[in-house]
Amino acid sequence: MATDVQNMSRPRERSFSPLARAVHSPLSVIGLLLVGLHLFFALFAPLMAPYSISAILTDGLTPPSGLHWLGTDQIGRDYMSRLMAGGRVALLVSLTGVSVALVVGTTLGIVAGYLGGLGHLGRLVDDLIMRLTDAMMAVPELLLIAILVLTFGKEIWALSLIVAIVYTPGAVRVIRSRTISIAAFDFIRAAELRGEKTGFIMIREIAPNLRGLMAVEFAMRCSSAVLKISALSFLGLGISQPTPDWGLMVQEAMTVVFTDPWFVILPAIALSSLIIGINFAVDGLARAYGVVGAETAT
Amino acid sequence: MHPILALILRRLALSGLILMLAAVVVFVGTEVLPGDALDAAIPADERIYYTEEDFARMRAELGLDRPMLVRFGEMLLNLITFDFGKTLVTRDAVIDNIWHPMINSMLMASIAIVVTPLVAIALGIAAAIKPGGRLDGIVSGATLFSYSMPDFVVANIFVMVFALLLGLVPAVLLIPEYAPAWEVLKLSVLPVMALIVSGVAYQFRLLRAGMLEALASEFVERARLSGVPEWRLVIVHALPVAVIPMLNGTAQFVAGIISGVVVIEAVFRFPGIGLELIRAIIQREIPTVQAITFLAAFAVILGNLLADIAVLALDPRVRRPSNGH
Repeated sequence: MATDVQNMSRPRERSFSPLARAVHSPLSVIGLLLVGLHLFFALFAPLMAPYSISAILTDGLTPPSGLHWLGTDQIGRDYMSRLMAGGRVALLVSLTGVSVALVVGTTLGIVAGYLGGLGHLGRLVDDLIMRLTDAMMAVPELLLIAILVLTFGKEIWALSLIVAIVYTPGAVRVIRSRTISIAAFDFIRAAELRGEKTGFIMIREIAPNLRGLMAVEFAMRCSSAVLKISALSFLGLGISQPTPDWGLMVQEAMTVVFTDPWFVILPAIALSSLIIGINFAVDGLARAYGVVGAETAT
Repeated sequence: MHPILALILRRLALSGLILMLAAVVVFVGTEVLPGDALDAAIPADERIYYTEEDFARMRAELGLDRPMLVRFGEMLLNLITFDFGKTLVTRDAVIDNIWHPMINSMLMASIAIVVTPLVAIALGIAAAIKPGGRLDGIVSGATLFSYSMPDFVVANIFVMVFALLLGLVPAVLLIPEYAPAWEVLKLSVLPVMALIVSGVAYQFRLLRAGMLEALASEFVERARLSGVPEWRLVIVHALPVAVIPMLNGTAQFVAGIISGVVVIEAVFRFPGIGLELIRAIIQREIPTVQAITFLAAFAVILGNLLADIAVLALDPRVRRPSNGH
């Protein structure tokens, strides 16, 4: 059976699950709380919002009042309702896209990393996968997303697909390098000598040891994807009206930043607190799983 | 041949290969779907002014009626020879359109590319003097925080603080596209600062990880036991080793700067390549989009190559011939 590489170095902590260990750090508790809060709003915003996100209720920008707690935007829509729902699309697109990227990336990463050490043909497969990821990663993520939007469009399914495409190479790379170090352990050698099939070794021996890294990767890439999708809508190339989106809301409000800076500040805080939440949680998670900084930062 | 020279030549060849593959990525990314560039470039409500014959003639002029594979080959050749062809509708040379914005952006980016690693190294040294100490906590926390701030938010905060609150600089930059370099630089203090703030966190995190590893290693412990003071351990012994993860992250760093340039130019209306790219995407000016994306990939690959060579010079371990993986 698979040996647990992650816990080999610290036998005394074995009784604690990684999640329990992550919760020990106050920073990651703050992070997890923020993420939970955002997920709650993303899920239930339509139920809690006082007004519809697209209903035009006033003649234009109005200050906060009893009827509209945060006022209304330039078009006259209730600002609080739009703010509450402003992260939904970016989060949905990131969660689905990154999940697909991680599944594809892990598969390719294990194949490249393990087969790369087995003979010439494996080396060729490894080289092929790696040069392709190199080429894709040479194009800055935001630019790659932008040109793919030009081709695939900006519907939710299209954005999810784009996130999946853009985040696969990074996942391949991280998983591959971890696979290479796992493949050097004796238990893999033992499995090979037992005559286990290559597929069995990859799925049953290597993959279980990647769980921690995958969890960290997932959270990290999600925070990056939310950032990129928001930046895209800030540039006016992504999510478009009437869908509320924090990036778009910041962009729209930049024309009134001198008179009503709050319309820039509120969506900026909403977006930043989500990203900060994820990154703080990742920090704790990475420490709990013993994933080193240099590995996660790429 | 000298083994290091051979390694450098190998990296050079590899970079050339990756650049070609990147051109393929750009081409496939922009033209993978069967729609045609002309259809995309002319908005639906203007189509009534054209007849079918007009379209057929224009297609022939643009060479869009040729088979996919021929166009693919031609465009690939164009990209890797840095001849970016002509724009779709106005038939100007793409390079004329993007040359000045590119110079403006490079002025801004070059300052950030030089200053950011220096700031990251200074912070990394400050944090490594006492790992886990108060200074380390503050710097690490602050960078994790700034790492989490979208760059358009950082840029907007700068506008609010320096232009709105303090009134030190104009909030909207009025730089003519053809302004001389000095004029551009004088007015790009805020954009450059925003670029540095959003880039420094990534490099600092890599450097700190490298520092902690280097400070825990045996050669540093040996120096420590022989009485070398802590600050000297950090700067003279650990730093040269600790910058290696940071150098390995160069591709990602340059890519981040380029993304940052696009976003920050949009905030400040800075007349650079980012605004040009956004304009090209909105107008569906495919050849210009391809040219700019390809140039971005070129910059990333070049940065990575230079960093690789720097690592070869710094780290004796990668110079070993048996360095397979």
